[in-house]
Order: sequence, then C-alpha cells, then structure tokens
Amino acid sequence: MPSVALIRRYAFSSAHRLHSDALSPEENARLYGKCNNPNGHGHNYAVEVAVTGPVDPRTGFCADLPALDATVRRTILEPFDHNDLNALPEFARLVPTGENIARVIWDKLRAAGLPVLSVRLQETRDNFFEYRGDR
Amino acid sequence: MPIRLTKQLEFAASHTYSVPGASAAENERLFGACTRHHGHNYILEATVEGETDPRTGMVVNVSDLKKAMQDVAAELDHRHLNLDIPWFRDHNPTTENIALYLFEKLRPRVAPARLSALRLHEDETLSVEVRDA
Repeated sequence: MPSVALIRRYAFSSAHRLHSDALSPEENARLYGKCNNPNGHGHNYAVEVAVTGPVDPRTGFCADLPALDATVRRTILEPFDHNDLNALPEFARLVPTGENIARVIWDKLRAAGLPVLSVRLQETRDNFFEYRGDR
Repeated sequence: MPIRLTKQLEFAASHTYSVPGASAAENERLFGACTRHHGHNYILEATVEGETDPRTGMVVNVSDLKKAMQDVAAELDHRHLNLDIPWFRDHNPTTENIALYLFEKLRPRVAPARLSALRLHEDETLSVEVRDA
C-alpha cells in the first residue's frame, strides 16, 4: 500500500537578522553579509507542512485539515507573522536562519502532536530549506 | 545511479464530498462547503525514478511519460468525479483518493522507470503526495 501525505502551504511575513553572539562583529559581517545588517530585514516566508496518516475509508481524508490549520495558525503564524523573529523566545539563543526556522516549526508542530513528515520553508523565490527529522 | 524526473500536467474536474448514509447535518459538519458541487484545476505531478539509459541519456522518454499522464488524466478531465467515475461512487473524491486512484492507474505505464511519487495539487495551498511504499 503506498503512503499518503497531505501537504498544506501557509504564508507569513517576518523580520530577522542573522547574527551569532559566538562570533566577533567582523566574523558576523563576513559570514552573514547583508543579512547581518544591525537593523534587520524581512521576507515573505512560505512553509509547506506535510502530515501523514492512513486514509480514513469513510471520509477519504488522511488528516484533519481544520485541526492542522488551527494548530499551525496558533503555534506558528500568530507568533511569527508580522513580527521580528529575533525577538521571539524560540530564537533567543538560535540564529533565525532558514535552517533553524524550519527546525523550530518542525519541533513546535511535533510538540503539538501533529504527525509531521516534513517542513519545507521558502525564504525567497530562490531559497528553500527542508527538514525531515532525525533519520 | 538512479535519477528522479518530475513532470506536471493540469486537468479540471468537479466533485462533492459526502459519507454514504450520513445525514445532511453530519456531512455539513464533516465537509462544510465541500458538500456542494464545485470544481478545481488540479495539477498532477508525477515523479519517476530509474537509471539513465547510456545510449539515449534518458530515464524515460518525456513524451512517453506525457502521453501516459495525459491518458490517465483524460478519464477525469472535465468530469463530475462522483457521477462519471465508477470508483468514486464508493470512495469520497478527496485529494487523497484522487491521488491514490491516479497513482495506481499511472504506475504500470511509466516503464522502464518506476513511479516513485505522485503529487496532486488541488489549489495553491493544498496537495497530497502518494509515495511508493
């Protein structure tokens, strides 16, 4: 029997600044370039969340879509959208790179009990980050 | 070294969601607006995997894959899935079930490659991916 995953795309717009306290100002500037601008900058992010499960023979659904939407809205979109990621507790000790944002989204949705298979974060038209857990 | 190749194709179909034997109120609670007859432009995305033929440089001839995808999608294109396709008389035509239906129809038609995944987009925010187990 093939496996089935439902993939839902959400959007949020946030500010961030890439800066590591473990590095010197010169190293930060060299490593992160214009993303290290002290005043920050922002992106329109899109995130594709894939959840998996058996297809219910009665409804034909493999996931509870309203529950998925509500959980993503409450745990990700409401705190992240139109906010500064660096100011959030999730990124107090974590540089909000695409890699780390994808990982944080995965962790928060897993902690909320969702059967997450993958989190794919689009930061710009050209940059994507995908996290599929420790495999 | 295996290579994966993905091709897309668009088709359009209509459907309604319901559970046989359920009351109108129960169907409304389960499916909301999807209980009404409505339609979508679906995008079928097939990913095939195989070894590159050293003679042609191809995993599969894309025009053969296109033809197979067109043939499989043609059965559903511009149809009312619940009324026109027998399998959906007792399977709710959700994105999951349409994707599974297309996966089984397309799977035997992509030789010499293997159908490793099929993704069906209902709109820009919702899709389902079926993977060969």
